[in-house]
Amino acid sequence: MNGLINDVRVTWRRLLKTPGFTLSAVLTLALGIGASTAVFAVVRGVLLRPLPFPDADRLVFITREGDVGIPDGVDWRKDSRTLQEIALFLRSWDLDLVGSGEPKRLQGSVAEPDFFRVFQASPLYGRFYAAEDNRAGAPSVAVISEGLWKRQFGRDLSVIGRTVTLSDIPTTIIGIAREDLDFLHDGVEMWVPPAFVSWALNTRGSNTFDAVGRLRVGVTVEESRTEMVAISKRLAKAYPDTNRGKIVEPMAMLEFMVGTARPALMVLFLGVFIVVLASSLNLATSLLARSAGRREEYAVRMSLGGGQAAIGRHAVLEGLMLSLTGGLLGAVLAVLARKGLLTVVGDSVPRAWAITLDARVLAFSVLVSVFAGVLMAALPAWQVVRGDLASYLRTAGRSGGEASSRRLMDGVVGFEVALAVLLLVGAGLLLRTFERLQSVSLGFNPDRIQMAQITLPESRYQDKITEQTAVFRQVLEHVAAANGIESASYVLTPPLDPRGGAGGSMIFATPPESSPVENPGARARLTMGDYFETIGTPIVQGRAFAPSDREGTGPVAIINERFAREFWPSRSPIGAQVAWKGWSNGPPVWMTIVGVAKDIKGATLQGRDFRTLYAPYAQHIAGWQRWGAIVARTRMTQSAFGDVVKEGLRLADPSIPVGRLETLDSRRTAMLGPQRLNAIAIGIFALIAFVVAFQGIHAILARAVSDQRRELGIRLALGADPRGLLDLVMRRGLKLTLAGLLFGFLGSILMGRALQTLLFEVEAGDPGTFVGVAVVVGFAALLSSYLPGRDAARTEPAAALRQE
Amino acid sequence: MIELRNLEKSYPLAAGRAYVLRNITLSIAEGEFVSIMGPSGAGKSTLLHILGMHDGDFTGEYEFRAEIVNKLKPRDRQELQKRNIGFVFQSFHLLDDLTVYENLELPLSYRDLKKAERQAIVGDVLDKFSIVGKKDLYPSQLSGGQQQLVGVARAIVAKPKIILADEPTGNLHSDQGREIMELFKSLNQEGTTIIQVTHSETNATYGNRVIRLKDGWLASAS
Repeated sequence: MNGLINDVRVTWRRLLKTPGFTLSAVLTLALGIGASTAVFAVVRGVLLRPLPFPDADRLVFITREGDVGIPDGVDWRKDSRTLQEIALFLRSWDLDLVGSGEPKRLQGSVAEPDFFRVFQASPLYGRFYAAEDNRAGAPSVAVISEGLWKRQFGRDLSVIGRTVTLSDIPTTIIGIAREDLDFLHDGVEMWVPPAFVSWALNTRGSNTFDAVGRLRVGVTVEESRTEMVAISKRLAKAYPDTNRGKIVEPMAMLEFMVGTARPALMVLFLGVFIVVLASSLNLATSLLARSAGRREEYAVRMSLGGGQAAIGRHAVLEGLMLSLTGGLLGAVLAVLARKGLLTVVGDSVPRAWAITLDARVLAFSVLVSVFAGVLMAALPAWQVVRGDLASYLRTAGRSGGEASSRRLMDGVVGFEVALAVLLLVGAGLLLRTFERLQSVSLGFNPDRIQMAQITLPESRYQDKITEQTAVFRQVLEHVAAANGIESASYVLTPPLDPRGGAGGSMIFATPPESSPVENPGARARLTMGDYFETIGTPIVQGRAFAPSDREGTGPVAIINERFAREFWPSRSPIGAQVAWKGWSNGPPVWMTIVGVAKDIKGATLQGRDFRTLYAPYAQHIAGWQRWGAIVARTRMTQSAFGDVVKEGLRLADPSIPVGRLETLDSRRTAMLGPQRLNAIAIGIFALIAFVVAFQGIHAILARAVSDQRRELGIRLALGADPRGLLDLVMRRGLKLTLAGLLFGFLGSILMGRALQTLLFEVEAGDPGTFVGVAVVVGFAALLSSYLPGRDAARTEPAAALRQE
Repeated sequence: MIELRNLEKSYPLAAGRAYVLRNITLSIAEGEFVSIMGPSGAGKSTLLHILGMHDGDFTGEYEFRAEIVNKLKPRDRQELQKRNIGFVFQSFHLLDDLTVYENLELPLSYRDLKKAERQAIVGDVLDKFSIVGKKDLYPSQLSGGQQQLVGVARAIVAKPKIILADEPTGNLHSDQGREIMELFKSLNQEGTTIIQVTHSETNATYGNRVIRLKDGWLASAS
């Protein structure tokens, strides 16, 4: 123990004697370990941390292909033997709290009573609603969130039992739920039973219901999936009108929440691991060089009785002490950077709220430090232990070991170059993806487009199509007439919305030329005003909607290019008669196709748009429709635009608040978030690895020149051409780079498949990226080899020989 | 104390082997002060390092105090060396980052001694060599003679049975060299066996026997 303490003391003394090296080593490690700690915090928070519910591994999200309704859930519960609980819920259902000052829009969720049992949740205060609260005609009840209780009701417990007016319905607050119950962090402030929404209880196949469940003990997700698929097929047979082709499949809840983020996070994790590996190896070569200078010391220690273990420990200590200090500093950096980290990744990864820097994350940074330390120390220790130390004593430290040490250092630095190339290729591909996504043709012009969501309360507007139309029209007319508005219109679903519009199926009065699938579906986007003019989407065939396309005139539709291409590949669809069947059970409304609009990025930046049908809102092809957005091209600020919409709503119906305000550009920016994060993070990692690798090449060449100064002096004294010395040094650097480049490219090709899921319109083997990386790496190699080479060529023979 | 029988040391070459030591057979008794002499390249230092058990790559037999060194495992050989042998080097080989005190303590730190015991032993040695005042200095702050004094002190601090010295005065001027040789003589008189490699006939006179090597062969051992 005493020996260890002595060794630690001496090692510290030695590190302090070379403050430049020590500081740069500690900072390099601190950055690497800090970055890896931060990335691990994200990976752990998003992918690994269990959900905050009892037996969370038994929770499933029931994914659906097609819409389902409460009666479907009733059948699932009846037939399922694998799921202990099942609950349907609407993730988002706007609720208007009226009566206390200005009307307030609340983020609600319509959830079956079993929803609480699925999560085995207990109320913070009061109670959750039960089956008897969910019968048609039962008094209306609601559970509020802990957050709303604090914000809106000032933590007043007397709120339980209080009756408030919620979207015109007197509703009694019966309980307060803990924050965790909003498990998708949608910002839910209130839960109401399906009975609150008059149509919900009895409508099979109604839209946007999601479902969650809890597996019975011992049942696997796969077993439940098989069973639920079978049940879906039985229901499709029993209710072909509503359930044909609708398949539901449970998947593990955590997988549902974060599965899509896994590849990107794994790539980030791999990237940061490579950075730590490259930094550690780079420092290992520095330590190896330092330790080479100390072989004589080790030999003396051995001659004084120090065993290999004691000497190996001594060699390891330097690396370990550097890495642990770097790790400590890295952990502090990670803690300090926590807020910034959450800001950067918050919008780019799901479940960002679960990211914390807890003891396990910090334990990880200790682990990385030890890994880095052992890695750094292993090379010098191995050299010491396997070396012929006696030869150093015989020759006063001048002989032996240099060749093997040189080969080892060359190998390590070549490997560093390969790692840097791997990351550079990855970063290049991700940057090209980001660039492609940024310049992807949107099919519309997002500049200066402001949007305001409006939702009409169901209680007063259900099935009152004329009144709904009047409200939207009045608001639109008010906005369009305002100063500073260039163009305004209404649309059910603006671009870049993953829902893409209202889902429904198509019926054709005029048989199409071909049909891509049986029972084809299409998204409906209802519009008012000249929507295409507002968002700048060209009509490529036929005409846009005209003011004459309104109530009482022949229904018309405009389809998108994809729709036209799939059903009328060689003919014009203009004049064809079609109908769209959505949630309304009324007779089909036959529409004449009057135009074809250019395809837009309706749902995502990467994917093509749905088959889409645009129709004038006023022609009521979809029955009653209570939400949508006012879209305007304007130079107004967001708040000024919001005020205009608010004023329009005040004139139309003062009880309706303005919903979410946003711009199309912000939507696009938000959608680019994950790709931006990937490109920036891997770009930074690649830059670090790149600098580290070429600093490594420079360092070993510079050291070689310094070590061989006497030999260089003799060569020059004997008539060597200085240019030859320059070539000698540069050849070594370029050889290392070439080997690193080849292995790096090989690794990039092998790992390309893992990256492919993150790429857009860029192949993993993109030749442009590979050539670009080769040019950058080649240039860096020339520079990092030229400087020590020039130094070698400038050797003064007399000075070099005098030195010796 | 030491018996060498037909000891040979060679290195492989493309066309055969290069011999550094050939057929060395000799005995050294306890309490002797032996000087190994010979021209450069005769194999003096190689022989010394084999005797000092730094180098186990040889053929023939090496017996040290009834232990057959060439049959020992490396760990046992190192243990034997640790218990019995002290080294003095031509270029001192003091550790630059350690103070005089720490350099002297170093061999003891490899020998399971408690801190208090180590302190006592180092204190005695500092006293004996009259370098108490230098104990907190670093080697770079000492003259060559003082450094070699510390080197000798370090060699004897663990009370070895034998001291092996490789050109111990090679880097010292004559007064300092004489002082070190006197020190060896007195250590020998106290019972420590000493084997030195030297080029100096004068230094050889401090000992009682000279072994001469030539081209790796034992030229004389009288």
